[in-house]
Amino acid sequence: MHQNDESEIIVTIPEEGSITIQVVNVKGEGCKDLTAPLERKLGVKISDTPTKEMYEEARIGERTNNRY
Amino acid sequence: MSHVVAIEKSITDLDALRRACPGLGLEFREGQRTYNWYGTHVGDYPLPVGFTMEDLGKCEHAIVVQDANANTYEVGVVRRRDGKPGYTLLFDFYAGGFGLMPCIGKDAGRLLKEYSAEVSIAELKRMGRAVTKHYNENGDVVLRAKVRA
Repeated sequence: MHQNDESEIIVTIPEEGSITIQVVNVKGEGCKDLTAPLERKLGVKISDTPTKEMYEEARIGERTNNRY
Repeated sequence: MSHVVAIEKSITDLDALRRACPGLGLEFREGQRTYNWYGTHVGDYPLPVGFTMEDLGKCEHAIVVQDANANTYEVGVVRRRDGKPGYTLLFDFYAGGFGLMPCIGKDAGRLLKEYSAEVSIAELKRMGRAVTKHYNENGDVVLRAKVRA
């Protein structure tokens, strides 16, 4: 998992409708570990949508391995 | 951004529910076994799953308006009976609950919003994160927690 100074968890809670948890600027599957405890506390997960950053670490790793 | 999760709100943490009340002009009353309402179910809205008309007006805890008068309705906090964990809120919204509904919001949305904020803040702090809270232009609560490597 890669993080930088801009990495953050953003929780948006409307009066009506579902809660949204976003993880920003964290690469790799490890980002899911950041939100799992919070998800369990808040309620029932409706959806979990990966964004392209979640896959970036794996692709960088593959390129690095090919180089050697 | 790496992933986005959507979560349906539910009440499982009574301490967080208690903490959410004062900011909305409400008071959590531990162990209050009845809540004030119209007193008769007229059948215009379905009851929560697992509840009967005889269950209305009874509760395990109650939430009341701080500056209520004798007519102001109250919220009953009761365990869910639909097989899921946690609690549900029983309340009568007739005539705005005579002062209740402006505090808790439509479908108790304001109360659930602040409850969810309290749950989130507590959990993020437990995880060692510093948390900021603000409201966006829609009135949504927005919490931000920095993630350090």
